[in-house]
Amino acid sequence: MKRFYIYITAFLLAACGSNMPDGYSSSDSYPSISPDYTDITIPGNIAPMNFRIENRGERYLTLFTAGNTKTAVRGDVVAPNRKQWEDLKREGNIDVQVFVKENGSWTGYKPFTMTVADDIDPYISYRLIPPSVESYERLSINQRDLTSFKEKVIYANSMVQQGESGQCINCHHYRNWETDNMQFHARQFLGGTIILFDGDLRKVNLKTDSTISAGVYPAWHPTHDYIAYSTNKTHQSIHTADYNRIEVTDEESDLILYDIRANAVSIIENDPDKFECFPAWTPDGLTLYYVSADYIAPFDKNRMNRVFLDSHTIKYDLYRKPFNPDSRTWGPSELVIDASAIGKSITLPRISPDGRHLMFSMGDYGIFHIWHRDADLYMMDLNDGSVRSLDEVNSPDVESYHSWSSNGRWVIFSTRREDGAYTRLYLTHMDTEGNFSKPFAIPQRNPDFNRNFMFSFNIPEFMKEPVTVSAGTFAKFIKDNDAQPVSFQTKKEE
Amino acid sequence: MTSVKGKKDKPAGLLSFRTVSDILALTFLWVLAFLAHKYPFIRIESKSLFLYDTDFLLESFRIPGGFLGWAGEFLTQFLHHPWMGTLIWVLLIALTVRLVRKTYPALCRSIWAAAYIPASAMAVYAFGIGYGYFLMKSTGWFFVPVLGTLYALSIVYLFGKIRGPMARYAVIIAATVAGYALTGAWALAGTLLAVLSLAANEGFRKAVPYMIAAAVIVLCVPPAMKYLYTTFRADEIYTVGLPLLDYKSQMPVRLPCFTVLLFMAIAPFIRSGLPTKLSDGPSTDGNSSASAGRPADRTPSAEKPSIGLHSVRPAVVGIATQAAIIAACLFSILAFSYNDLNFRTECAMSAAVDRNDWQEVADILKKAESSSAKSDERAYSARSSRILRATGQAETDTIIKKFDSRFYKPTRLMVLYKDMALFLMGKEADEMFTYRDGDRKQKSRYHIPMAFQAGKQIYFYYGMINYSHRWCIEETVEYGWNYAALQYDAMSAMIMEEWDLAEKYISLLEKTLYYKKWAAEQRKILGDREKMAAAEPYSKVLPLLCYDSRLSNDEVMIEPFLMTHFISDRTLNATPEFDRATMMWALRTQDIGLFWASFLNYLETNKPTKIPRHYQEAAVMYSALAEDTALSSLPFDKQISIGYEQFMNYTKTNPVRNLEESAYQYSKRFGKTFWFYYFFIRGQKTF
Repeated sequence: MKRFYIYITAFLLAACGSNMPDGYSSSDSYPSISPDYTDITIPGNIAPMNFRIENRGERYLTLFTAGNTKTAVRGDVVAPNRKQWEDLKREGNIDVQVFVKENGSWTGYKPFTMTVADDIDPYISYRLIPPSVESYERLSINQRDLTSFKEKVIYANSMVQQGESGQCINCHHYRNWETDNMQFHARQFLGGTIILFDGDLRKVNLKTDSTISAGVYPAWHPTHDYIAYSTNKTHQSIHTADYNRIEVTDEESDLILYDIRANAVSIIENDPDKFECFPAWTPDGLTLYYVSADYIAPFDKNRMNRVFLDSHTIKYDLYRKPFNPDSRTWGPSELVIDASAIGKSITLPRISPDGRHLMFSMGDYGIFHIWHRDADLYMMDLNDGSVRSLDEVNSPDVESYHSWSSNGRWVIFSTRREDGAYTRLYLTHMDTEGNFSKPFAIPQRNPDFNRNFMFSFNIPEFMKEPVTVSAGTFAKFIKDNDAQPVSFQTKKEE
Repeated sequence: MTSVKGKKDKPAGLLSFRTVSDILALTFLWVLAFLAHKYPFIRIESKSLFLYDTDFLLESFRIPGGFLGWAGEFLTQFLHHPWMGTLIWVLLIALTVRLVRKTYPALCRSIWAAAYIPASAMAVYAFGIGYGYFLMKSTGWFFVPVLGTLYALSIVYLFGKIRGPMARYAVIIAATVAGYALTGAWALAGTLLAVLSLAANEGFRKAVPYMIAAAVIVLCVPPAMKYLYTTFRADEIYTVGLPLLDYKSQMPVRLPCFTVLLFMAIAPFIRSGLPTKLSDGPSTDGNSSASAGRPADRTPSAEKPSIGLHSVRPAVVGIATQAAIIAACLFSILAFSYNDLNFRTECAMSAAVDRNDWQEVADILKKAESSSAKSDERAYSARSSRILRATGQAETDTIIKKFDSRFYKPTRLMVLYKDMALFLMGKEADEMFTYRDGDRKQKSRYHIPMAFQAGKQIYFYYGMINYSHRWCIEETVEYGWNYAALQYDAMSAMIMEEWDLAEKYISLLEKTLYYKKWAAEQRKILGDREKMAAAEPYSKVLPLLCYDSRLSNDEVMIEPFLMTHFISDRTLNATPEFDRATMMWALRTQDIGLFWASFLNYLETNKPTKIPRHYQEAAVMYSALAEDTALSSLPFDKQISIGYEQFMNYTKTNPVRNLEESAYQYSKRFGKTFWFYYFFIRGQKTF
């Protein structure tokens, strides 16, 4: 029997060897591959990085080498199987060389390396949405296992649709990357904020007489049972010819704090001459970062039109506000980055798990940077206050929503760099010095996936574990339960 | 009639008559489909999408019945060539007729025309959709009823063929579970109809266990499976797979399907012994009550008297029954087909727009006008004689109102298409008022904003690229991607030099059967600004992109939005083409001040050697209305001034009491002038 295995192994090796080009000319350029996975740093637990070779040729061969492990994959679609991939990663960094046969002769392209680094949170969730304008019939919040290609719907708006009454679902969010505390909003039909709190579902209406809207952009407190929300009166308009096709602006926005146990909201910030938005907690839960823009205009029926006319001048700065979670008291707000002073506008502050770095998206104006091609990612070192543009990550197109992995080594962000219209998710690795590796598209089973897929990914969030509540349970709960009202509490200040 | 070998001797006369009838019926359907519904079917094809791509197939499995939709989309692509698509459709109908006869031999042996009933219901579905095609949410919907019917019939047929309880239970389970995943509600219907057929053929008592099993499984499978799917509406678990219309009622598209299913529910219970030719006596063929394809002597019910029309009847009753069914089918097809001249014309114009065949766009409208000339004349004569007999103004007004619908008027969409086509040919200033104008409401139960119907086209060719894109997206979010939306989005991306985005759409179109050639043409100019700018239709649209962007919203109203755009968004960089468009819309506003302001801009940028006819007409008339004589220095055609004088003199001899009353009379002499438009075409409604 042992001999049999030896023969089989010898045969397979010979077969593999026979695929190798006997002679080839070397090219000093990288092969053209899609997605571009040349010289990237990948998580140790990532799914196979399938790619397509775009160089013209008759035959293709890709040789993966990691330590003593070698794997050859034939064809222009390079998709090593699970075992091959795991064997390679186990050995460490993976060198990849692509050979292309054209007009009878082989060319060996410049090898590239996939550096295997820290593991990543195994799951991400995102909202799938057409690059929409006003219609939103097809929306779902999905979760993806990054260690494989498995994807599952967490909840889809069609599940509770009835006749012409539909839902718009958005803003999924988790506490500390764990899914037994999560929330999302189901707007309109049977709407409410759906909160999974220590495994129990609740549906609440966060709108009170004292707040301008229900909760919108959430930030779950890391240590206490609070969720900070922005409240927004949001509108969108269309550019007749601009490359930034759509403009989304707030007519008003404030910040509130929802005390989950007390089922009550209180005001964090509600200056009528400021648009406060996008709350983000520090990991210790003692400071809330947010963005705010000054805007003074009468609250009359023309306010919305005025906001649109002025939209290019509305610029958001970065603020922070100390918070005592035990007494639920707030300190005074402090301006952290005066972006408007340099003609810029900050959104989406997110603090790294170690509390040292604050990443944000910055563009020329406004808050909804997914529609702003000038928007890039920046990072502030909270130790020394220095700010830098993440040039190694940014592209000429949009970089917007971003999330830190729970170990702080990975960032996932949304970008429109591939075609300017469809938002895609990219990963980048941060080393201990705060430098980022070349970003790359999350791997898909079909390397042409991004090119073919007609939905945008937005709000990517890492999760340590999958959401275990089924879509059906969410749907049934939403259908069977009315949104419970919340009470209003007065704000406590130090 | 039964040979010693057990085979039926086919009566030659009957067979030939049935065959001839079948051939005639199917040919009739094909001719009707091809001739009367050619252009709507072309539009239906343009609103579908089939990609030769594995992911596209896998995507179909995300919804119960999705496979049926996928197959439907596959077949819909052949409507690109209407003769081919309709031929395939007719062949599938023929297959349905054949399968109905095999499945329900007891009924169809003598009343063979009964097999036409499902066929006619499907014809009503296909021919009666009208504007509803814009609102179809389900994929492959055009072919789904015929494919679904074939599936359900197959289940009934198969169930009738198999023996043994275990095999039958296995079929019930497999046909429902796997069938629900593949065909949705058609599988549920197939299972129920199969056990119903069994009850009819083998007796109710014997069928009870199967009926219970089928009912339980049909009731339980959809709720059990619904959470495997998250991309369809929860309230549709028992009807998913049937055509889905974005409308308050599904009856317009589902009634024909339900008719088919109802027929299949009743068919096994009808045991006809009707003779179908005068020499026949009542049927004594035991097989008439047998289940599908099964020898009669093994059927317990074979010896029982069959239910229904089994007694001895005069042969003429049989023939009359056949004739009545054929007549009823024919009547229902003709009565429920949507046959509206404006609808057909809009579809033809829309297809010509997509082909960039601008002269054809205008010619189609002209043809529609010509085809209604005689009926207009008849309406005018009838109205005039009625008015002469009218006793007072109130009665006259009533008559005028009543007759309004009898005069031909185009819809606003047709007018917009025509103006756009003339503009893109540079003929608008000489010809735009030589066509019939109007705002006839689309004859439809559905209210579909023009922006949904044609926003992507009209905005694109008028250079409002973001709005063209907007309506591509709005449409596709609601109803799914389609060939036309991919094309317009590709062109929008090309003209904005968003090459990567254009490449995305082009690469998708390259995976199609009939649009890959178009995609290949686009790929040749992809990434090359100069080549793109020189190619059609970009060369015509690019000059219109000379305005500053502003934030806006069309409020789903194309016409006023375009009017505002061309009148308000002019910049110092305005091109001659932009000023021509501004002139066109200024004339449409019937605003004198706006005309003069635009006219000066037009003169400055276009530097015309000859002032176009409608501009001269407007200038002459507006000057006359303002009693301004300064125009005499402009190089105007004297015939225009003379014509205007004749018009004014005509108004003196033929005073206008009521615009609607006089419009037709005036149109015969002055209907191709701006003056007629100015005085008689007022307050047009847009949608």
